Amino acid sequence: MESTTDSRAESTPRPLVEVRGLVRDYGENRAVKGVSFTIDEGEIFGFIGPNGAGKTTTIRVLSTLLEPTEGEVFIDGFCVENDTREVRERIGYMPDQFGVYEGLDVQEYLEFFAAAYRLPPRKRRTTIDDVMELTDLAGLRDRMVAGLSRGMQQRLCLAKTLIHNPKLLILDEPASALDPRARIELRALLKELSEMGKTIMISSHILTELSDLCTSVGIIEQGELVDSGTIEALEGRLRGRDHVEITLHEERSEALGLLRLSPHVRSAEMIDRTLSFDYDGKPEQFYQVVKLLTDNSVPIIDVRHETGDLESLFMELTRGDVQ
Amino acid sequence: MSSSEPRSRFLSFDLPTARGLLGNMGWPILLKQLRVDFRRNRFFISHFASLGVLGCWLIILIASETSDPNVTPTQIGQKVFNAFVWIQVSVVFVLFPLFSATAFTDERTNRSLDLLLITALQPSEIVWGKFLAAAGYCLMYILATVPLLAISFLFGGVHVSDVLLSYMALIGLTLLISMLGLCVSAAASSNVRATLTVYVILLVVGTVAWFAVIGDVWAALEENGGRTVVEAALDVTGSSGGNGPILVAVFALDVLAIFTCLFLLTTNRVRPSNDDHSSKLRLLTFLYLPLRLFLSLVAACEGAFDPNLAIPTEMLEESVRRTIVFAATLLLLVALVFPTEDANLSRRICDKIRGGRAWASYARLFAPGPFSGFLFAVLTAAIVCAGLFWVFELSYAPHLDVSFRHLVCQSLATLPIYLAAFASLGFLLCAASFVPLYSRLTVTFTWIITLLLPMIFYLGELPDRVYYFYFASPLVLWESLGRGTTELVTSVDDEIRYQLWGYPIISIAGVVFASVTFLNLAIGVWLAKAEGFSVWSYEPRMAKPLAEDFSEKSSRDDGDSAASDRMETGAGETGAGETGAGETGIVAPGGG
Repeated sequence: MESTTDSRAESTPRPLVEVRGLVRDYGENRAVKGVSFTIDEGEIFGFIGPNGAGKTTTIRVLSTLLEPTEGEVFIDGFCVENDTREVRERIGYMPDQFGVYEGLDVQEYLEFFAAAYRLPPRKRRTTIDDVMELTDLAGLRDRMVAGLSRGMQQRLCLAKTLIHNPKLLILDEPASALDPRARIELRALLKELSEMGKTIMISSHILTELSDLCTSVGIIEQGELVDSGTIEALEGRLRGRDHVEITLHEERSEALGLLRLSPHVRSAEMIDRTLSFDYDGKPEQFYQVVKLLTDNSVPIIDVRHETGDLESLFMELTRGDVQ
Repeated sequence: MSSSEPRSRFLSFDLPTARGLLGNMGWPILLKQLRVDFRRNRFFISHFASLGVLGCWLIILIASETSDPNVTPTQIGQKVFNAFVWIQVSVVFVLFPLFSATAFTDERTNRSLDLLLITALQPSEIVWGKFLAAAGYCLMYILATVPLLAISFLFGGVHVSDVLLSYMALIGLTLLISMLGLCVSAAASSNVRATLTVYVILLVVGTVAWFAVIGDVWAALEENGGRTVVEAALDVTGSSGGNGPILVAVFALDVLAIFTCLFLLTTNRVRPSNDDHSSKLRLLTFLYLPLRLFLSLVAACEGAFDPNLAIPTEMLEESVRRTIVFAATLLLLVALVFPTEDANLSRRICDKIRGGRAWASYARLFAPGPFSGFLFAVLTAAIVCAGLFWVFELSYAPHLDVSFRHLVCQSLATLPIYLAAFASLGFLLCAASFVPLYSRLTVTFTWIITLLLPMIFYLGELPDRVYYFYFASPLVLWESLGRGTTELVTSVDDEIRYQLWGYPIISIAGVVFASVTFLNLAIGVWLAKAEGFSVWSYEPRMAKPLAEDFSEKSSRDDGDSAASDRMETGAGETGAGETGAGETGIVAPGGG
């Protein structure tokens, strides 16, 4: 197993997560319908979808909390169905909603999970110190967990998730109930973890944050994976989805003809005094379109340029239907 | 890694290690639970209040009894001891369920259960930890009452054996109730539901126990107050004549079997819902039933095995009736539980069963699933009834009259067929995708109807001695009402066992119940095949809707499907993210 890992690591990134045709039924209801994707080592994979799309079900299958009805899921080469123990050693799971044990302080809470993950007693103290340092909880060692703020509890849960040094972190909407500051801090923490070599799978509704954080994404709707790929690839596909509206001081019929001279302008039309069109050229060359108009004395008073982003792709691919 | 640890081997078998069997006994859970619970007030308050009430009650009792000049000190000691035992039993039934009934529902409502389940702890370790924490508080209370019990020794009349036996019973009950609370808690969705369910179960069990034993013990004490409750219990159960140790063994066996059964059920509930591990439960049932019934017969009437002893006929009849009713109840439970298991077994369980050693294929009777459950229930009933018949013929029959022997033989011969009909109904319902709970309720309802209908019409004509056998097999009722009795009596001689199949009533039972069984089975197998459930072969269920979804999708979006094929081919080698995004960027559902 180890030698295989080494030899493959030299050539291409090894898929740490392989999901093949995953199906999961709840009675008569099919929550996940043949989802397939892979996550390479070191990636931050964003898992996006509307409510009820099947994100949490997929994540719970990956976390060994649910068994797949059909399909196969491998984590680091181990099957989530048959090699539960090995898979659990390799994953750290943080659910979207979780409770903490009232009556324990932060140190005791982490000690419990260290023992539950069978960390040797002599290593527990240093491991707990390390994860507390990493998650910035060192000053809260003696605080009761029930008295922590939501953001701090989130950090504590993340610390718990890291306690056994898993390869893969599975975070189900970790920023959903956090205030803006806590979100920014969490994002910085995840980036730090990624730099430490952790592979992260994160589901979230906050798409703008995912686009900044993730190296690849998968979009799921109604139990089906409708799109997936690296952020670079998606950006390439989004190129050409820029929408531009230029407002003129007065209606000029020749402006439309001038625009159509540009090879990167699509679907141009004039509505009252506004020129509306799609632009599929490079962003840094957009000024040439404006220059073309101003050189021909077209009086521009406003330019609105909407760049295609993850949000617009998400809106385009999904219909917002809930199962 | 722990999986690579060397294991002991005997011949070609891996011997289980102590760590494998016991794990760490849930020590992390226990430690956490102790820390959390000891920082709450409810345990200290409940202990303090219970001990206070118990102490006050005993003081008031002593004060009132000592003021009566006609009561001797010995009687006071016995009354104090009896009151102590009754109060303790009440506390065990009323208070102790609270400590364990919320063990898992607390975690579930607090949304911390998932965090617990994905740790390296095994389900059995989690259950052990929760159990030890819950039972620990209860046992602390039991031990804390020892000084109060010592008061009764001041007056005399109480033996050390009474104390030991009463504490053994209290500790046994405590362990059982703690595990029962845990079992219900693992299945319930909220604290209120779990607590109510436990109390309803205890109410039913308590009522049955009252009619079976406790009421008699109470009446015996009322009738003759000059003894302890332990002595009265031994008298009522017929164990005061020297076979007390067997009764203790029976009690210990019962506690152990029920505890193990509840433990296995709880562990199952902690696992994923369709990951049914009922094999151990079946093995336990298979081993426990014959041993328990044999011990029960011996404990009830030891002298029956000695042909030289003249045992009163009533005593022998009573012990046989009790044993048959007990056997019928347990076998009914077996027929109710195992054939009504979820038909949709997980792939992992199917793979495990199919991938077993060759000899293991013969043990599929013990594998989970409704069809094997049906076979198991019928086989167990047949073996147990045959065993009882053999013991009965060997020891009891020579002491009893012919008509009583008729009843016993007919009951034991018709019981397996009677239960087979219910077991097959359970199998049919599960094959029709009924939820196990609803299947069990339906079968229970059918059983009650079967039992009640004849009783409603013939209650006035029912002879007392038939009542017990009627519970075992209602066909006995018809027989007792004179349908064909004359023929039977004249056709039976001392070689009764060789003429079993000549009984008209057994032939009727064979035809009616076997027909019902066959019909249920045939429809059940047909339904299971149609639904794609495995009956005996343990193949994973094939879901047709998925194929339909895919065909619809592919016909709607051929281009995407083709793209997904390409992507999936590349995914295994280079990773989906890179290949898929670079070429198509689309992963169509069902591409795998």
